[in-house]
Amino acid sequence: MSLFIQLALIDLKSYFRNSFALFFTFLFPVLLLFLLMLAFGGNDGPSKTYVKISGEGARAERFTKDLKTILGSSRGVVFDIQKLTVENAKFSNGVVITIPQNAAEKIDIQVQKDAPLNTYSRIYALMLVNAMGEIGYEKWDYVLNIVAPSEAPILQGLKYGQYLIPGVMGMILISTSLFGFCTFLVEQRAKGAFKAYHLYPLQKWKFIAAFTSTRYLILLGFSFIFLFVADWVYGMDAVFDLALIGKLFLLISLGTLTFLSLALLISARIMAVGMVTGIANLLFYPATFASDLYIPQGGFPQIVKSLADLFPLGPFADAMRAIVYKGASLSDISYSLINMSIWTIICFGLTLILFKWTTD
Amino acid sequence: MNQKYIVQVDDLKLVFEDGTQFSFADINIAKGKITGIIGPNGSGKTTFVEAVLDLKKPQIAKIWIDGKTQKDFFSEAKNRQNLGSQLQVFAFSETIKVSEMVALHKALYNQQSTRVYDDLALAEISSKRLDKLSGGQKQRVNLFMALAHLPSFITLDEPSAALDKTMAETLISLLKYIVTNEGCSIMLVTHHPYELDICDEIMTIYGGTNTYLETRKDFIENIIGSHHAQIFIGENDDAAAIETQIKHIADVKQHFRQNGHVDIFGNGNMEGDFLALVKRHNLKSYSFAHTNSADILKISTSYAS
Repeated sequence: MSLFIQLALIDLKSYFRNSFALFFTFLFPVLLLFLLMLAFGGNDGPSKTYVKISGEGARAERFTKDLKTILGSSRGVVFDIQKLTVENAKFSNGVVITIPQNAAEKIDIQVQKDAPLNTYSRIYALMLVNAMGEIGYEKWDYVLNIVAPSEAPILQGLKYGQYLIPGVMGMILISTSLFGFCTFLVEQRAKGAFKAYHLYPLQKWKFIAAFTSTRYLILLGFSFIFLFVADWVYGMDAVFDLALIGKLFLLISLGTLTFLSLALLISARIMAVGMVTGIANLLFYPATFASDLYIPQGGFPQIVKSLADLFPLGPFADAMRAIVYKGASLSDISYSLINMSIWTIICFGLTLILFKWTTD
Repeated sequence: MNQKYIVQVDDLKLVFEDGTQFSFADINIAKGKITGIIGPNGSGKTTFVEAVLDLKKPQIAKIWIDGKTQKDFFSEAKNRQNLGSQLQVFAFSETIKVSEMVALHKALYNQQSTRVYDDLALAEISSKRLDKLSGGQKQRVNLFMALAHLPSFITLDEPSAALDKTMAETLISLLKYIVTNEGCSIMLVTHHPYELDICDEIMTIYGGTNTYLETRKDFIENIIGSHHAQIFIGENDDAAAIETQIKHIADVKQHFRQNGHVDIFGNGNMEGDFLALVKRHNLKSYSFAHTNSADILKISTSYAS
């Protein structure tokens, strides 16, 4: 059996014998999703925040169109105008916007107050106000009110779970890569395990390739199990046909390789376990917070958005939402694919040059 | 570089962050021989071996291995096909099974000696995970990885540490077999007389530098002497007078007093004077024998200077 396959097989078997690693790779993400849904998702499972826009005439039409343009392109927001039906009227979270025909009269924005646990609806209201600024409305053009639920027709539905699932997946992929795999490599080096590898007739690239292959398979397996469980428990409202699965396979594969290559690069030269944990934290928390994984990016400063868009985590989650919920094609998510490919090539290239077997 | 030597170190200097310094020079380790490296704990034996193996980054390193510069030797995987190293640390992932280590070895080297596998009794532990092995069992796996491809250059760092007596004896036989049949060269860091017994050459390291490198015969003749006398001094004996008289015995090369006894090293000719001293002081407890490996280790560790 070739050395590459032997190394990969040993690593894979060894990994699956480690119950802690299995817990944190496969079970913990599901628990995390559950916790986030509890924290942000409202009392009655997947929540919806509705925006009602009432008004007639050119002003109302232009406002609706502009707002849709702005919010429809925001991550985490599915801006789909729909009439309120008896069925979705039961959702009490929402924003009601009344637009008088007379341009001299102020627009009325009412945020329903009976959804205190639905943090997302409040964040949405802030995004809305921010978006109005972008389409030319000054703060004296509207009045923001906290009001009781309205039974009037409501537009725009948003299901937090749908938004959250790709975000949590991205978060777990990068956290497992950084805190699981990267730390493992640095620990092994610190313990002196790699001294033997330096003395074996083994090229670094073979070891790195075998390690990457193993961890790629583990993360790929995790991703599809996670998607299956998330869809089963929370409902993703997506049809997992062959085309979608193929696109997901490509996206998850590339995302996994990107995060793995980043972890390998960090592990390449860091000698102390304490230091790798620090660097992983330094990267992980800002990246996951700013990358629109579980907190919408809408209200963030532009510079934060721009930086987050450069890091592969946000583009990964964006692309997954686009292909799962909007039926986006590969060309539609080309920015994400190119972004991740560039990161992967650079990180793997540098890893091959910088990776050290020993702490000296 | 001279093809007679498996390792040549012209100049090797290491300085660590805590200020500890090691300096080695003019070391030629013979091919086809077993060279024992001895010295007190912390003197630099392991550091020397690891520096030769490119596991430490020295300030200065003029090192040749098997006729190649150290850099050239380690830059090509095929050179490492002929290297087998047992390091003090054996730290593979704990959930790997012994059988998988054996398979990894096979994949690395494409050859595997059944004799090494059998002698180290790996069959009986092959289904066990590394974290379920005792220290001695781990050491057997460690040795297997170093020896099973019958490399031409072997480095061993206290190989019988943690091994039981039977296995330690088996290891010694195995090393003799490999050297005899494969003509390999071994660098052996040791604290054990039975390991030193099989060494053709002896190198001593003391205080971070190499002090001697001689054939075993020359080391005994020139440094220690062929015989070792020992006197146990009681409370009523005049220790100072005894020591003064020992100094005047011809053919004594070195003598040391420690923990109620005096060790005297020298040639066989000192026997008459030594026995006269014993008689003069009416000493009840003494010995006189040929120098052995334990004596060499004693000289190189406890009393080295």
